[in-house]
Amino acid sequence: MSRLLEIIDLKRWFPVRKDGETRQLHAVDGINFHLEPGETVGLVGESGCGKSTLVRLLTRTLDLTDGQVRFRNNDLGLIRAREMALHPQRKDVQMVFQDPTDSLNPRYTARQTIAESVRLLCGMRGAAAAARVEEAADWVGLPHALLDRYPHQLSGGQKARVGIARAIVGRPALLVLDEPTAALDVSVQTVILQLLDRLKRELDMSFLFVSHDLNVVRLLCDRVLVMYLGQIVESGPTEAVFRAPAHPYTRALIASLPGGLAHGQASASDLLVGGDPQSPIDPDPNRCRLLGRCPRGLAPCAEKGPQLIDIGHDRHVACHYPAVVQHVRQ
Amino acid sequence: MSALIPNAAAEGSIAISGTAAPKAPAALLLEVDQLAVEFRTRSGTVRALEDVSLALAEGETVGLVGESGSGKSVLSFAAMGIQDPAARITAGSLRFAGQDLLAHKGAAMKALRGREMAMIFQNPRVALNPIRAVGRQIEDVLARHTDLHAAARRRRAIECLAEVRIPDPERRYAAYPFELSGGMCQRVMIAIALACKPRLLIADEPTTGLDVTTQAAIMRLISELSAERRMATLLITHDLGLAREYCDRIAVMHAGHIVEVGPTETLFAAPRHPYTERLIAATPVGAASLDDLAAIEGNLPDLRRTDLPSCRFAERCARRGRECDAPLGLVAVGAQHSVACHRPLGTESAEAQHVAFA
Repeated sequence: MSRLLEIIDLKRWFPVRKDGETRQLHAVDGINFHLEPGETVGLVGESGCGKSTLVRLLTRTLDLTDGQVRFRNNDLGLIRAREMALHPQRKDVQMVFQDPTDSLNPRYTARQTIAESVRLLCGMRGAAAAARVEEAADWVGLPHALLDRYPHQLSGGQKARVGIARAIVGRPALLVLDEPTAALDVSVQTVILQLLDRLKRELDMSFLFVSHDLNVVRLLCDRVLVMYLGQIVESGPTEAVFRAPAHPYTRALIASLPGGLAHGQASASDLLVGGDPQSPIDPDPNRCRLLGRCPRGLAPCAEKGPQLIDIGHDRHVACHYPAVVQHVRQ
Repeated sequence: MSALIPNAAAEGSIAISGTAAPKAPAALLLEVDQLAVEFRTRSGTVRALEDVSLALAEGETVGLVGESGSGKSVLSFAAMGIQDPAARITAGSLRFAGQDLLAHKGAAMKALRGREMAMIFQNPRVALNPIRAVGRQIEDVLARHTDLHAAARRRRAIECLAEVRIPDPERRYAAYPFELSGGMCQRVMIAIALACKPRLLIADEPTTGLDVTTQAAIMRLISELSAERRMATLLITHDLGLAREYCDRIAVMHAGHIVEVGPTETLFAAPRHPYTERLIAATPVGAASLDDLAAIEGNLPDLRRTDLPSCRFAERCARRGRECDAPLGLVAVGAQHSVACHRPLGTESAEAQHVAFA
């Protein structure tokens, strides 16, 4: 299968001034991953780890420092973010934003919001565009009577549907979802997740699902990428990673989940020690970035930065002392 | 500063300091009894709370769960006496350690708030003063409620920061909120709330928007501190997983009513109210797959309606029957377990018997 999206050694550094000298904040620092057509990949990590920067790089709304964003074998990274706005491939990668209230224009009705995407992404006008808007409303289960309402007249779940309709109206191949249900109640969250899962199959899309709610990631994603301070520290099939997390940070994430996950191997002894993460400004490349919070950290961790290595069964981990993982055949 | 003392003497019952030893092991600290709160708005009167009763004993952690708009925050704001000016308490009573809170006005309530009862607000970045160093914000509480002099206040503020496990508290004392991460700001909020060793802590979604690792650290901190000090905690959350992990008892709210209250494990093992059951079924904790999750039909009813049914869940409920229009109240169904439902779950066998006898 040809890859839909391939990210090669992607970097984005931001210059910051500190104590009178310019230094580099390594927001995304050498990331490699890929997405197959039809796949749902979850991206998890704490706030400030670079998830949003990564998303902005691959939706091409932010210029990259180094590396490649290959989409259907075209290096989209070569296109400047400003030019991407008018690029024909823009409609293939679309995004659903976190807060449905903040991401909708309060002066546009739901119809106008969706119609704007139809006009700009599909180049459609008039009756054809109007029909397309209603078709998108049908996809997301938004009654046509609600199309002429403004965001403040819609409930949270309805606004989420408008945000999704706007993103999928151009039939994107890749939909990037940035915590699409974080602002929703648990009762509505279920409906939206099930809607997304159905749309993915019906419209033949791939998802990159960014979230810090691991329970949701576990339900929706085929594979999961765990990010920590600009780097991917673990990746693999969701079930396997949740059942037997190898990286200490992944173990801590899963052990932190309230309510407890069934059959997981992570326990309270995996919780992170210490307080804040290291600074992302000019990090020492020869030092593990989790050191100081890691319950396992040893001397070699301060001398050599771990690389992402293959541990079999499509799983990768960047740690000198990963937990021993017993692969269970499915 | 001394406002508390004459007032406390007048009330005759209150312990002056939060450090006083508890008198009885399960003395009730907060008693909410048949409370009703209304908001008068231009488009009608919102009946935000109706007949809400809840009691918290010393050292107990109670979870208050429900969808947004169910009245969780209205209840906590009413208990703290910080409700919106548009809100009116139309019925019921609020008692704290035996004192009638509704009789307290202005200064008397201010003396209690921050000292005897404290609150952690939802969003630390909004609740903290952005242009005041965090250490000074802790000192503000101490200046209001203690007679410590400036140097002692500073020492105590640093101690408070250390108590909430903020590394390097002396340096962080001078930090402004924007210089701290979300988790650190939340710890500062907790430090402010706990500075005077309150007997009651109301935590309104204390970890919403925080990462799971930070959430675990904050929640463990709150539960350690409440165990150390026998502090009663009311944890308001919409995360059932969180409530299950940290609460002794859980009260479920729906559209301004408490529909079920019971010990955590009982509630999860055998929910009696259909809404509780739906809420658990919608929560993705431990659920095997997406298809196993069930959404809750419909929305909360508009609380401005004048024709609200006695059971505000009836219009969303699959079990609705003819008897559901009758007046409704919480009825005990087990040890510490009550439910407000005419057709609670787990009564099928009883119903079958009824039919057999008829």
